[in-house]
Amino acid sequence: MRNGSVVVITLGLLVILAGLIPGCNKGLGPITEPTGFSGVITYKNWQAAQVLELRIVAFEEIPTDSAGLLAVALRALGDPGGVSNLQVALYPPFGLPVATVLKILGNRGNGIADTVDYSFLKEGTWLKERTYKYVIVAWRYGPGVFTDWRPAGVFTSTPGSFEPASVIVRANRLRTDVNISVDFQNLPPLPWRQ
Amino acid sequence: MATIRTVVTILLLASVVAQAFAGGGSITGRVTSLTEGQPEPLIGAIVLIQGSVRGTTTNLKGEYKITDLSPGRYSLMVSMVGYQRSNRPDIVVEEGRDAVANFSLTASPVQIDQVVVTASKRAQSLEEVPVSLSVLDATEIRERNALAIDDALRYIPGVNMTGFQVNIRGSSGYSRGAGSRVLMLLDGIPFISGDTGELSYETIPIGQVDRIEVVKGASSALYGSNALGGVINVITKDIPETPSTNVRLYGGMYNQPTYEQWKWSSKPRYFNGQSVSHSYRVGDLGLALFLSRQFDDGYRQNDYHRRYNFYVKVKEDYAKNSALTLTFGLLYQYGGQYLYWRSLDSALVPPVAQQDDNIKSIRFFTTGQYTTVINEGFALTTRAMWFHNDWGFETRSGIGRAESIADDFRLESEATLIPNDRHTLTIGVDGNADIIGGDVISDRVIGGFAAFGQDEVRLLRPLTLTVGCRYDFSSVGVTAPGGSLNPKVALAYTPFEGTTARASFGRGFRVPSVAEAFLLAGFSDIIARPNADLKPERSSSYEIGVSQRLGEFGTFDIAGFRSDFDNLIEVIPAAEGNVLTVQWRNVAMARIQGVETSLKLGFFEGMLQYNLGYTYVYPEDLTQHDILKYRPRHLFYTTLSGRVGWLHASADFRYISRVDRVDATLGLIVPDAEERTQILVTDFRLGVDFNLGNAPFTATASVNNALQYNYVELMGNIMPPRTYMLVLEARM
Repeated sequence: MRNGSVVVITLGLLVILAGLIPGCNKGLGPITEPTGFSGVITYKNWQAAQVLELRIVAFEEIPTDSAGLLAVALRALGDPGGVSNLQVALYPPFGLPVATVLKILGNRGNGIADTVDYSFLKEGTWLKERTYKYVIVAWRYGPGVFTDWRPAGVFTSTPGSFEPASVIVRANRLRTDVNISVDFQNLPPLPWRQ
Repeated sequence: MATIRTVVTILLLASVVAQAFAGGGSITGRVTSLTEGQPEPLIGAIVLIQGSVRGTTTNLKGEYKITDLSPGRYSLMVSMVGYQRSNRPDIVVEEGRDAVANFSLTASPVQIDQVVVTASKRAQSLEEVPVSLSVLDATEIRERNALAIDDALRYIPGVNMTGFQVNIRGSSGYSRGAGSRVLMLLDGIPFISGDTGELSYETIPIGQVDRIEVVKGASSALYGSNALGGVINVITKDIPETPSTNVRLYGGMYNQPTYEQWKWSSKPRYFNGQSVSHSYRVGDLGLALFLSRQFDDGYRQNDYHRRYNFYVKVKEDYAKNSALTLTFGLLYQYGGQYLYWRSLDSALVPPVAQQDDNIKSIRFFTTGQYTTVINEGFALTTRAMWFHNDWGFETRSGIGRAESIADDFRLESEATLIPNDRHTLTIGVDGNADIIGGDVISDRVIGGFAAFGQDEVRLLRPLTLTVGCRYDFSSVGVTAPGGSLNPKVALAYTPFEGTTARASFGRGFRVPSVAEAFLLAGFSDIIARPNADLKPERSSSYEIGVSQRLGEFGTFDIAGFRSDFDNLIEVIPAAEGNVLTVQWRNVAMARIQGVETSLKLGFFEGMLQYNLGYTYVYPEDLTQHDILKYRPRHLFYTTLSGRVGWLHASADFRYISRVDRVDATLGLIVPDAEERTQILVTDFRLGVDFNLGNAPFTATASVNNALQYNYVELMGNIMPPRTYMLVLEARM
């Protein structure tokens, strides 16, 4: 009887104490992260001569015409404040030399598939805490800085498709899985009818 | 009207037949505790004639009498919580004479020989049950100061809660409060709201609960729809022989949030409650009254509630072996409606648009039960219920006020027949009708009826085979009315005293609730889309298990189980603009398998007790080849309790592993929806018993979630922080 009770008390206390140890951490708590999203851009069939500039462009609404795509972004060259009103955010932000921009997102390749990590943060850009329905890698393929742009890759939740997926930007949250594939020989369709 | 007339006719006929069988001999005696000094009479001990439907309980003097027995030989079983069961074979009853059988029960350190009623719709020893069944008695409920049934369920092995939704061995995920794969019974009759199909825990007055029995695994062969994953039977207290008054007061407060940025109120958040119950008997008539009030400020913003319960039970024993029980229960409650957090950084406040959402409910039920024992081999029970649900919610930023009203009517009649030593038959019929109206679900009337039968065959002395089947016809507003046939087969083998091996197979099904098929309204920025094409869910459950008595010191039980589900209904969320739509669809085939063990140990005549339960579940979505959503894989519950004279103390510890999957799409609406963790909760209690005048009192202080572990059961819903509570209870 005495041995049995000692076993019970010891067993009970050990099990409960074993629970107390991991329980001493506090479980869930506030998250302190930068605001924005990040991911990996995967390139295929890189065409070095034709890639003059690359940017990640996040649209709150899917653009319905060509003017709605990159023209809005490029207009920001002359009207940076206007970008925030046009419900679009760009990374790298304007103000950097084009060569630097290209280096940030695309200075790799030489025709070989490669990857680039990126972090599109609120700080230093016009990214806001809201839902972006169309997030793309935009490609300038010609000298027309206002005209020679098109989507090269689109963020999707269905691998192998070009169906756009939304990215919600929340305060103090960094979404880390916004990965985009770019295949210069299999480009996504334009989001509007030509 | 014709149905009512038929029932009344049956009842009258049964009474007449009962009278016709009156006569014969009796068994009488006294049940006492086996102690070194003067034997103490045991009040309320259960006395059953084995192999018959007859039984009774002992009175204030520990005495019992079973009358109107045919001449012959009988075996008696006497059982009481805290004592070892006692059997007495070969009691000879002669015409016109009293056979005397006195019992002295030995105190048991741990409760081994409980009498349960849910596994086979009749009273039987827990050791004879061929399925996994857990019992939570009134003492455990009272000591933990559970404020509603769902609070109590959190401590039963194999059971966990996802918000207000109960999950037995992985059967249920989370379906936004619509539908349940677990059937809840109130004194044996289904207690599920007719509109949403959810379990209304707070409507049942927890202060009047005698025990909760939980059957694990598909049980539709006896109970029909919803008994897909198991059955919870809430059994209310019987009316005692002597007048009894109970007054209970509690109060407490929530600790401050762990993090400064979670603090949202400068005032402490309190809760308190009061309840009073009184019961007495005048001759054959017994009456019990219960009244309670619960106020809770809530530890989260707009999560307060005010709750009032009223309950009355009247029981008339007449015609010697017949009894009529009538009950009425009323719930009125209102409070804020907290759906989910603003974000994990503001985990205790709702989104701005939901800060004023509120909900109000008026629910009442009335039940009637007539039981008549026609002879020792034939008992008839008829039950009826009317359950009225009226609830509404108001959103300031959304669709305004919406209300749902549902009236659920049920009627069932069952008979237990024991024609000889080898067979125990249970047969019955039941029917239900739901009348639903309001803004949340369009007006409609639904219903169904069923017939069931079961035979427990004693093949050999230690081997019992149970076979049963039930046919349900449901007119629920799915595309077409339909029927469902659900069989069961079970074996219980007791090779030695204290060892029982069991194996069972059963089919389960669940007709979609009206809310799942026809819900029109939504909460805040979540909008429901109706789906009239929903089909019933089906399941097959298999189980093998062994229970082993460990001398007089405890029991050990282990079971392996598997359930296959087809047509499983899941909520499919989708984003439409700035709102999230949800629709219930038949989407999945699933397989849930696992193992469960439980250990109960007790020493020093029960003064020291230790309980442990562990459940491993592997819940597989065979359609998506993934883990089912909202199912934890590991549940581990343990309790250590001790009592020395007037002082008692106990500690609970619960571990629930992190849920593998949740609805990722809900992340479009619920910020940080994916944030979740394992659950580690430790509770401590310390109590004293004392007397003031002649009245015994108990005072208990408790600290729940003593380590202030922050966790969610449901996405976006932090559970209570450390909570301090004082309870004072007087019994007169």
